[in-house]
Amino acid sequence: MNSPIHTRFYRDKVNGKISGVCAGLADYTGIDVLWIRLGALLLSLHGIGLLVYALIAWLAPKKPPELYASRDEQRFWQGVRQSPQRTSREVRARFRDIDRRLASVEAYYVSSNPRLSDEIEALR
Amino acid sequence: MSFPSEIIVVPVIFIGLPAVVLHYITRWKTAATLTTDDESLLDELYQVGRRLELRMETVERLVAADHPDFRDARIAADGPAHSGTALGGTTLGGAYPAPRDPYAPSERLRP
Repeated sequence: MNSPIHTRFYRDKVNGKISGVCAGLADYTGIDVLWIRLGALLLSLHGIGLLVYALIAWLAPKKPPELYASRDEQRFWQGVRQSPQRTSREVRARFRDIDRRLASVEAYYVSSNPRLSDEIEALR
Repeated sequence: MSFPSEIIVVPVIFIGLPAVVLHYITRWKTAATLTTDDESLLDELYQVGRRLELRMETVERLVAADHPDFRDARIAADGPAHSGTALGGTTLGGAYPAPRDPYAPSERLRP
């Protein structure tokens, strides 16, 4: 597999505090990392949090550095992980938008024939 | 009642419970959302859509630069709130060139 899998959980060691589990969760879900860290701290006070954190840090793979090309792409994949159906509908909406705009350009050239009016303008 | 309760309890624990668990595990596995193929397909569609949108904007800008009345027709058709896109992927900005200076945007579009 040459390209990394986008729908997998990675721990984000680069942006993380200890081993990047909270940063990875924030990257995976799109929730702000502050709230996840606060939740992890609360869980640690109960005692379960540390065990879960150590287990995830041990099991989860590190995030590949070239996972997303841009912030936009990161947001796109967060949307995919939340709801693939919604994201595919968004992609379809984007294609329909392009189709509609292309059709309006085409209609403009077909109906108003700007080249002909340009020629007439040049002859004047 | 002399009916032994083990006859019911033991099968429920050792057959019924694993059956329920396994049933839901298989349900969960078949309902798994995206395969690797789906994911690469979605990735490709996203990239193609993004590029097409940028090209569409370039074309619209070129047409609007050559024919100032083109943009006016679009504004009349679907209102001014059009520069935003479904996925927020516009990087070229929504501003169209002023009709007075028809060849200004071509400078920017040249590689």
